[in-house]
Amino acid sequence: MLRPLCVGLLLLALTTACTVTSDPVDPADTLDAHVEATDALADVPDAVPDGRGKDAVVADADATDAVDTADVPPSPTWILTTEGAEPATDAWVRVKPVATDPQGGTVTVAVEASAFADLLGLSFHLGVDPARAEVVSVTKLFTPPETGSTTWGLLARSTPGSVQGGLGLMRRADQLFGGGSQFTGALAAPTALVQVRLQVKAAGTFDVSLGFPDTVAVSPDWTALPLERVGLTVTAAKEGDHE
Amino acid sequence: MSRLAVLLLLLASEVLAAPAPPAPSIVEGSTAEGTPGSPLTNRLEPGLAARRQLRAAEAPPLARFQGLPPTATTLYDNGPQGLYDVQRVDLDVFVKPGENDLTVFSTITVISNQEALDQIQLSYQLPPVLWVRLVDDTPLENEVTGSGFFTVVPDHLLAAGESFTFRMAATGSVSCESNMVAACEFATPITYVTYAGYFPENLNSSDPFVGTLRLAVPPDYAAAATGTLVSITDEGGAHVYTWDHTVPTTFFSFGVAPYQTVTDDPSGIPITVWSLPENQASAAEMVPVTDQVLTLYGDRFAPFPWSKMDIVEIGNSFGGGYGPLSTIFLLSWAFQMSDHPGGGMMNELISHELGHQWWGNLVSVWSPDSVWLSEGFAEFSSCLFNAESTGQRRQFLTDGLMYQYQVPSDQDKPISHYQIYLSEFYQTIVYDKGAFILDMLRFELGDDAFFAAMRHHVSKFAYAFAGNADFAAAIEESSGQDLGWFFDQWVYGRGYPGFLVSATRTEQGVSLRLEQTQTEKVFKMHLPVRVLAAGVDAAEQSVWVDDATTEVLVPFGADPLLVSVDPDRRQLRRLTLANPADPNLDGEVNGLDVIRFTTGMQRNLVHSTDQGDFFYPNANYPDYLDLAYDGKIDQADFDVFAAAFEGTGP
Repeated sequence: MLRPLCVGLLLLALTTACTVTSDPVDPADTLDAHVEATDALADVPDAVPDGRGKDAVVADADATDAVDTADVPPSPTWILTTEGAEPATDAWVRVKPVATDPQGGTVTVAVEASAFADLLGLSFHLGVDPARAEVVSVTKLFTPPETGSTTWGLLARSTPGSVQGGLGLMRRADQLFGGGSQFTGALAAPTALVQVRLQVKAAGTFDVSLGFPDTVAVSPDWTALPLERVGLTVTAAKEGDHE
Repeated sequence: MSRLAVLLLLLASEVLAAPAPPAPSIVEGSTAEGTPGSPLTNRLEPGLAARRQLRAAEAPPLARFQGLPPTATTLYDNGPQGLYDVQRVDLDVFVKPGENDLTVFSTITVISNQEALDQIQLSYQLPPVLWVRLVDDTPLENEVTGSGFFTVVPDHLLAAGESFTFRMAATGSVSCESNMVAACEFATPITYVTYAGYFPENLNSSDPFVGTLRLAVPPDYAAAATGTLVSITDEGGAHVYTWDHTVPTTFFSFGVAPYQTVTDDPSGIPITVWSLPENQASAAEMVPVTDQVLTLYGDRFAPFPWSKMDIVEIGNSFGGGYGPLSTIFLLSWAFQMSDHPGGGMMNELISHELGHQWWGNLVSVWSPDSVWLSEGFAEFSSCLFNAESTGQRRQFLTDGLMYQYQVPSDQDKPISHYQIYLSEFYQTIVYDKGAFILDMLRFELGDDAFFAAMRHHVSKFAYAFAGNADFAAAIEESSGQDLGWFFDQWVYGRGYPGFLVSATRTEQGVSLRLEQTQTEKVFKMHLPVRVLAAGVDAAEQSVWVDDATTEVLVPFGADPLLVSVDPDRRQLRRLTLANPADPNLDGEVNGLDVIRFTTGMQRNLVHSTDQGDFFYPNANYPDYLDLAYDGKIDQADFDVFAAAFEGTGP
């Protein structure tokens, strides 16, 4: 005897259970609760319908463009410039400039990833020299490309000199009957993960880097996907020091 | 005119006062083998075991039939001895399909095991007895008590070794609800009766007998039964089926319905499925599955021991099915499972009952403390088939999780507890944990040594009874290992270990600390530890745990992505994270932990619906992420993890 009566009943019940529990749950109602806009930037617009997240600034910006200081109003305090290389490969994670606030002495950068069709998750580690700048806020931005079809979680933890975080993706449809191995997580390109506001502390140049080995994309079989990491250089100068 | 033909006429006129004509001669010259042994089955089994109050010492190892063909007198002869042995039972049964109205003529032969035996007591659930007589029609004193016993008083005191034969007749209805050791259903379209409780049965239900079952059914019905079908004749307007039971059995069982059959022998074993016409498609699917299962078990355990395999559809009167020798009975549900999204349930059921052809039949069990050698082994066999046919250990893992999550620790019992059949969690412990215990033994020995040991066990106890000590001895003989710790821990002991797992990063690697959290005893086991790192192949080491706290260094050549303890769940154990923020166990809190946690979510064991919560294990369930240990890895668990990760927790 393999199973008692209750198993037969269970099977019937599970037909209903499947129907009920497979009803998609909007991740925005679940894990998105963790997306605490701890210090949302005033200049970041709301989510755009293409699912790339609510950072229209990031989504629409040319990734290779450094922030043009000519567009920044004269600051009585800081002159901030940013420079970043262009990713040379299809798979990358980069730090991209978003905005500067010379008056406030802050630089906002985004951690952004290229498209991945098959992805278990992405781990990132952004670092700065705390003697020249420090992390003052982190805003998580990810919006899943297929709302309702993917379970995802995005967390970030910061210290004055770094931001460590991760994005995990999992398909929801494989919850029952021993599933769980068919991951179909995907990132729309390019996908912003966090915005980090850095408070400049000292004049000079500092790198905003994506550290190894904690910045890694993970495939469904828990192998590391080849990934180019592109950082950013920020140059900060006092207005009076600027020639 | 045979007795059955006369019986038909008598029944037609509803006159049964007259004695029946002499019993028909037994069909001679049958060479076919195959008939039920002593299956121990789900709902049936607790009651059966309850009547096995005698807990005798384990039977000694017995070398069986080395190159010799077994004979009936040498089969299953190492069981417990009662006051007498039932040698032969011949039954003639008249069935009115759909009606609870059995008429049975029985001829029973016993041999006394003691001097001056003055009565023969049998278990009995039959309809009212009409008469009991000697073969020369001399009436015998007899009594049926309300508690299911039937006593026959011989016409003289029986000497030790003396054979005594008597006949009896009975007719009327039986209760299918009151008898826990039997199952029956008098419904349309299937009439189904099993177990000797409806026929005279030795109180020592592990005392098998040979015999013949003859069944008369209306001509538009077909009958299927245990045993080997030797003839179908037309008598008195009825079909009369005759089955020989030349291998000792402890009961007869049959179904009567407008059956249709599907027959094939793809690997040389004749397979016949008896089903209702509407289930013929499922019946056809069962044939190749049955062939695959028998081929696998024949390769791993021992050659298929019988001459044929029948599968018979019965009503949904009790659990999933049961597996007597060479004939298994499956509920109608089983024929309707193939399209269920659960998939594979039909195969699980069939492969379990087919497992009983080896476990419970070829190697039989009589002591309730050894019932897992039948049910747990059959379930292991089913899990093995599932794993071999799918490439995944899903059924093994499901069974393990069923045990771990469903059995409260204060209600857990050793699988060898002599009253395990009384446990509310009988099935979870005996079937599910039993299968997992055997798989842990397989893990300990390795496949080659394990299956060699299983074959050795079968060779010793084929056509005989075996107990826990017999099995342990056979495994140790074959493997050459002292496995007393394993049997003490898993067979004679209860529970399973919990480990509090912490990881610390060092220059040499990750230092893992495994602290056993249960207080009852320290468990021993090999725990695999696997490291996945970027750019290098996965590395795995086996950690021998035999102390309350074990520390092990897990070296790695590159920074690890994921460190896993027992990632394939080869052991019964619970893992608890010492640091909830580090579920990837690499000793650091970073984004990899987010990936690890998130991708482990939603694989629940408990599924909430409008009708309540249902427990259905997910084989890939990473229980160490179930921080609340409530069968779900859900938002609440994520909240705890997130607070720990982001440093906002307590």
